[in-house]
Amino acid sequence: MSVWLKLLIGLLSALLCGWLAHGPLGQGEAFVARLESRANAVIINAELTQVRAIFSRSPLRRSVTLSGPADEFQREGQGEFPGLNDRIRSIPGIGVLSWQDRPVAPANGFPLIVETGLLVTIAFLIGIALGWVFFRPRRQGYL
Amino acid sequence: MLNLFMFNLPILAVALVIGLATGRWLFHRPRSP
Repeated sequence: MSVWLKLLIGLLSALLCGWLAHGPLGQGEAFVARLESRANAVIINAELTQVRAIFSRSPLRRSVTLSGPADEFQREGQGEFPGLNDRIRSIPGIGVLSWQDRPVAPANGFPLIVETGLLVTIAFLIGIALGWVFFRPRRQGYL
Repeated sequence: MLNLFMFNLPILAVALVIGLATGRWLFHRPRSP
């Protein structure tokens, strides 16, 4: 079996596990749901009860679209007083932020499955490198 | 992205182990008797 075929089999196995964790096991949905609840908590804290944070579910994305009435000061803040945009962006894991009445170009971030696949590929390649470190053929001594 | 990395740490550990196993499959040469 060729080297490339073995690499491909290994990579596909790793990506399959990543897809299983993201989709059927619900890790992707759990991640986005956690971001959504944190974003809504920030909005409630800012006392903008008519503003909603919407995360794409098809496909799942870390990007958030805000909808509802909010003026420029409420959105951007001023000086040392942060607006809603900065508060939402400070949530760890949030992707691109946009408002429904002001669509952002270009498109709003990669699907979460693509980002997860990228991380899985990097972890797989690190594993290959460790495999080379530990299992590479070594010169046999004669003594 | 770091947050996503931390959240997916278990599955990344699995991917690392798969990579390690694939590396062993690729590089390990049994010693001749």
